[in-house]
Formats: sequence, C-alpha cells, structure tokens
Amino acid sequence: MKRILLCLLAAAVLFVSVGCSGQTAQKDGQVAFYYKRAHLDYNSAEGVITYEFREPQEHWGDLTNVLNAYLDGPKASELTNVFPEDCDVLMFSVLEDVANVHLSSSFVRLQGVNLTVACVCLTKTVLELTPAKTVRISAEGVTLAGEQYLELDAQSVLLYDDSNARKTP
Amino acid sequence: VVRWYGSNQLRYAVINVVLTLAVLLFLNVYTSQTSQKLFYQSKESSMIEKCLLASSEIGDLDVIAHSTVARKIAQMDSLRMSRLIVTDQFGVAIYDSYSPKITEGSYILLPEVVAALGDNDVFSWHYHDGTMLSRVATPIYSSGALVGCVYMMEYDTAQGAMIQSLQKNILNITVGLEALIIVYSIFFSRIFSERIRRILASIRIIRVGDYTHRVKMGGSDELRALADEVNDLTDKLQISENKRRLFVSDASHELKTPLASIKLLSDSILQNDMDMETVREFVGDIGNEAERLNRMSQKLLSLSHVESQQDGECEIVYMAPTVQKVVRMLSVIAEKNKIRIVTELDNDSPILILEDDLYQIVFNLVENGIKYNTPGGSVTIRLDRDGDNALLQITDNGMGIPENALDMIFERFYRVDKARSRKSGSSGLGLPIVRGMVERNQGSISVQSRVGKGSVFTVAFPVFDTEEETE
Repeated sequence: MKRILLCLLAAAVLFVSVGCSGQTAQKDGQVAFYYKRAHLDYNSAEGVITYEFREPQEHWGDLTNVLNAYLDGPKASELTNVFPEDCDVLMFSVLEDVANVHLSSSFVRLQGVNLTVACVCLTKTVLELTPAKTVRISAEGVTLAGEQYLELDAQSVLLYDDSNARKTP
Repeated sequence: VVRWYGSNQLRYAVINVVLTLAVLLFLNVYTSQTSQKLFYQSKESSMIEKCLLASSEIGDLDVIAHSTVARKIAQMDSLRMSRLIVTDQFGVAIYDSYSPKITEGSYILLPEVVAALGDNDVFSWHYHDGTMLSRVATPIYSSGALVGCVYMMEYDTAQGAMIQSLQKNILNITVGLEALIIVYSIFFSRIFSERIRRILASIRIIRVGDYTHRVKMGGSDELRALADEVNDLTDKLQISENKRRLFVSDASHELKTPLASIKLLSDSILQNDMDMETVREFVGDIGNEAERLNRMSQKLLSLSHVESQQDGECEIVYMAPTVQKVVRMLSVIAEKNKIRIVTELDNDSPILILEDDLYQIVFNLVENGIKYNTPGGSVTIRLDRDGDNALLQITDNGMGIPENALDMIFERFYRVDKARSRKSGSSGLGLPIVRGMVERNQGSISVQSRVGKGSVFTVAFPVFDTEEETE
C-alpha cells in the first residue's frame, strides 16, 4: 500500500512539475516540436502554442532533415500544422548564437498572424534543437512582413498574459 | 431488540438529512453558478463594448503607431483597464499600457489576440477566489482591411469580492438551513420512533398474556390507526381467551360428572357385598357412563374439527337424499319415542357443501327434534327455496325453548333443561357443531321457538345455480 502511495505521489509530482513549468524537458533523447493548438485555450499558461515529443529518426541525419520532418506537421490530434504543405528548409546553419533558417518560397503564403505563429513555433523548436539564442527566418526570393528576414528569440514573444497582479485603476 | 443503527429513527433522520443536503447543495451550486453567469454576461457586454470602441477609434487613425495610439487612448477616459495592448496584423505590439518598454515590438501570441486577428471578437473570463480576470480582444479595421487588434485585460477584485460575498452568504444560509433540518430530523424521528416503540412495547405486554392492556396513542395518523387495530385485536384475543377458559372449565366439568359416577359405582361394587343382579345393574350403569364419555369425547373432537381448517372438497349436492338417509337412521329412535317424522322434500335445490357436514347438520337437528319432543309428537323436515337460498327447515312440536335461552343454545355445553338433557344423553355440543358446520359452508342458521309449542330450526345455504355458474 505504501509503495502504491509513493508511486502515485511521485507520478503526481512529476505531472505537476512538467505541467506547470511551461518548459520542455528533453525526454530520453526525444526532441520537442512546437505547433499551434488545434483549439485555442484561453486559460492555459501555454497560450496558443504547445509541443509534442518526437523520437529521433535515423534518416534525419542533420538538423535540416529534422526541421523538414518538423515542417511535415504534428502527430498529435490536438495540434495543427500552420506551415504550407510544400514548405521545406532549404538551408540551415548556426553561427555563434544565431540560427539561420532559409525556407522555400511557399512559406510566404502565410499571412498575418499565421505567419507570426509559424515563425514562433519554428523559433521555439530550433532553440530546443540548438544552442542558438536567436533564430533568423527567411524565405527564398520573398520578404516576410516586408522584411528580408524575421529575427526572433525566446524573449520576443508574449504567449501568456500574467500581468494580473496589477488592479484596474 | 431494535438497535439504534438499524432503527427507523436513524434511517429517517439520515434520509432526511441526505436528501435536503443534496437539494441545498444543488440550490447552492445553481445560485452560485447563476450569479457568476450574470456577472459574466454583464462583464462581457461591457468589455466588448469598450474594446470595440477602442478598435474603432484606433482604426480611424491615419497612422497606427505607438505615439498616435497612445494619444488616442489617453483621450478615452472610459478605457480603465489593467492592461491594454494594440497590435498590428502580425501580432506585433504597437502599444502596451502595462510594460511599454518590454513588450512593444514583441510578438503578442495571446489566444485572444490570435483569435481577434482571425477576425473574431473574443471574451474570456476567469473567476477564482474573489478575483475576476476578464480578457477581451477585437480586430481593428482600417478602410475595410484588418490591420491589427485591441486586447484588454481587467483584473477586478471589487466584483470578485461581491461574487465571493454572495457565495459566502448563500453558503451560510445553506449551512444554517441544513443545521435546522438536522435538528428537525432528529426531533421528528425521535417522536416518530417513540410512538412506534410504544406500540411495540404494548404488543410485547399483550404477547405475554395481559389482554387487558391497551395501546394509548394520540393523533389521527397511521400510527393511531395501527394502535386501534392492535387494541381491536387484543379485544378479540381477550374474548377468545375467555371462551377458551370457559370451554376448558365446562369440558372438565362435563367429563368429571360421568367419571365421578363411574368411580362411585365401581367403589360401591368393591366395598359392598352385592348380589350378582345388582352388580350387573351397576356395571351396566358404568357402561352407560362410559358410553356417554365416549360420545362426548367424539363430539368434542368433531367440534374441534369443525373449528379447524376445512378439509375435503365441497360438492354440488341436493339435500333430499341426505335427509332421507338421516330419516332412515333415526326412524328406530323416533319409533321408540313415538315420534312421527314427516318429510316435504319436493322443493329441493342444489347447494355447494361438504356432504358429510350436511349429513351431520340434518342428523343433529332431527335427533334434537326427536329427543326434546313428547310422545305422539312429530318432526317435520321441509326443503324450500327463498330467493337465492335453499332452506332446510326442521320443525318439532315438542317442549320448545324459553325465549331467554334462544341466544345461548348454540354455546358449548349449554342445556336448557340439564336434568332432561342428561337423561336423554345430550352433551350440549350438538347445536354448536351444527352452527360451526353451517357457517363454514357459507350458510346461516336461525331458530324460532315457543315453550310448549315447539321449535323451528331454519338453515339457509346459497343455491348453486349450475347454469349461471357455468356461464
């Protein structure tokens, strides 16, 4: 009985620690792929984006292949893929703290907030995969939101409004 | 013994408390949810209205930039929010009232912002522990095109406290009501159980033989009815017990008399020198007394048999053949007593009866008519019909029965003339047996008599109409 209670306690602690952190933990060599939630949750600390763990595959080889696998979309039904179907990573490199992701021109089909969501998902995934602190995203022969590239880091996104300590004046 | 945990008192109290608790909890939750919903609806319409106003004002700006937006918002006094964010169509923050330096230029991917940039008005609401958190976002249109969104967040403790106070009051009322109900349930169940216990105690007293005890119960409810039923039952038990005692006493007395005679006669034979003829006479008397004892014991058995469960199956019979059989059996005694038996059996009807019972009824009544008659008298047996009843009428012109004895003649061991009855060998059980048999065959018996003129015994049985019954 004590053993069962200890197991339940351990499971509860693990669940709470993972569920509340909002951070991914590398799980036995698995990688976290970020996608948009299929249904918006207005009370979740993770906002519109969450992740799923994926087993590394042998054919992935380098990170370009990993990212191409990522662009194919999520496996979990509660997630949705915002990237166009024919969107590929043409070039990927990490220079110092900056990861450069060069995507095919089909990426430009994303407009408005969908473009932002896609860029944030890609950024968070790349930051999980590499030691880079900034991700620079560009697309072949086109501009993104009027820019040659979009540069994002972990601090440039507000996913959850936790400013509720301040009262309405 | 009823233990407290199995008692109705506890059961009713628990059921009462549980049911009322469930109802109160439901009302509590329902009221609480309804009040929250009302606050929600009020907050939703108010915030969406403000947000739409802000979106409209900002959409009308020539240039949507931090400075122009900040100026416009400063002009709108009604927009008193904990946080107000304005983004462009990509979700990039243009203005943030909360932390301008940190947020502006950042990507705002709050769910409400994403939904608003998808061309929706969104309102979300979260209430917890006295604080109400409301979020709203609406798209900004400029020249018909979606160019951004306004996001507002309000952290409201005033209305939250109001909800909390309301819920607390409802909870207090619920707890108070439940406490009252618990007290009432205990009080009511104690009274109810006490009354049941009183009936139970009375039944126990009656069970050990105190038939004079009566349940005292007030009110006009089911328990009062139950107490009345117990009292009625006790009355019947008392009557039955009195009858039983009287019967035992009478039976003992009646059996004692022939036994005493036998003892006396046998002592006389043993203690006195007698000639053989006298001895024979005494032994003959002993035999007669023994025969009387035998008849009496047989009749007692017969009476007991009548009062017990009916055995055998009823048959549809006509009474005439049985009457004729009885007449044949008793003709010798009748001739010996110089009594004429007359039969009028033409108007016979079928009845449903145990044939042995019918024989015994006719036999006893005709035998009585012969026994209590005078030489030269007659006994008339007539079969008749009165509506749905078949009648058996036995008339004698003998000594008759005094009017004050008519009610008693069906009682056990009752004899109108004890000396004559003993002489005639009557046990005082014949008529009780007749009445028992008549009643167990759904019949009735009545008697009319005048002293010195004779008696008429009328037995009525329902006619068994074969055609009607077949239909």
